[in-house]
Amino acid sequence: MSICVADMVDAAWEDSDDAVLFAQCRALLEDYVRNNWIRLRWDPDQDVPANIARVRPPGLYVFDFRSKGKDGGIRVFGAFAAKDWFVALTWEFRNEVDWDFEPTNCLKTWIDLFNTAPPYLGSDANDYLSSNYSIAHADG
Amino acid sequence: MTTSRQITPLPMPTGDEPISKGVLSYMSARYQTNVHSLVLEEFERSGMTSAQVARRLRMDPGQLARLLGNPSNMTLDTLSGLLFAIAGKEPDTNALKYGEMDARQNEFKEVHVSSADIIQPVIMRETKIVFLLVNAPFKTEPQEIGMYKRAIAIERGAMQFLSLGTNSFWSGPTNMIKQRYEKVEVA
Repeated sequence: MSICVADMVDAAWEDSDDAVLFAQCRALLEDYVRNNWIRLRWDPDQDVPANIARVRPPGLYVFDFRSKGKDGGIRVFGAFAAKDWFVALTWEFRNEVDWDFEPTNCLKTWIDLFNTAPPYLGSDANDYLSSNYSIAHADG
Repeated sequence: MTTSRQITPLPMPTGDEPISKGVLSYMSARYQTNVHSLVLEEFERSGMTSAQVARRLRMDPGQLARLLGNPSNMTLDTLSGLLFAIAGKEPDTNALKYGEMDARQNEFKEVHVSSADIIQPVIMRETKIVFLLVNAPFKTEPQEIGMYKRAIAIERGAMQFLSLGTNSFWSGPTNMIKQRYEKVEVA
């Protein structure tokens, strides 16, 4: 988790409308940490609901956690360092996400921090989580 | 000097102090994620197709996909209907103290360790811990430990937020740390 994401989840206990969204996002991230069952969407071109999804362009292997809420909630962007190891790097309110910028910015953040160590590149969805997950498909 | 930080734990209710909007939102979202997880688990165990479940509930398949896809779509009505349709079950109604459900409690203690050992990739793999380094380039050689200033990580499967300082880190219960870092020199 990057400092900016940590700052966001740390603001979850405040008494504000933004904190409501931060708290929902924190609960979702903890859902992952606690190994609860989650849904992962592998194909960015499939418009199916999921907790975590690979985003376009798929070649970047950037994923987002999708916290729903007022005005769309919050998206937390990051990449996997290995199976089960998600590194949360950036976040944005859903209705303010620039989809051309955010995935690239996320990968740039990774490179800035990890230098030459690339993100983990799995060949399919099952390469990313080891337990308690299902794959979100268009047919349900 | 340590540069590590802690994620602020949930403030528990005390006296007449009003509970913040954020805390109430968190508790609601946490309940929804727990319920969502329960339904997904039952669905996966059942071996049913979503089309079968949708037919049992006379529900549009797209609506079912939305229910299964995100915790915030789960209401008490949909929970009871889904559990019954999927597995002939009803939800348990026990009230637990916060954190009791988690196998490992979300409590933070400082533990001094050999940072050089922690950040070796082999240790990272064994412990399933990811370190995100801030204001420092990523190096894998132990002798580069001086480059590391700050890190925070989350591990799946344990209620845990970690941050790494130059010679210390914060994490969950001490017994878990000892167990997970038994191969690491504790300073």
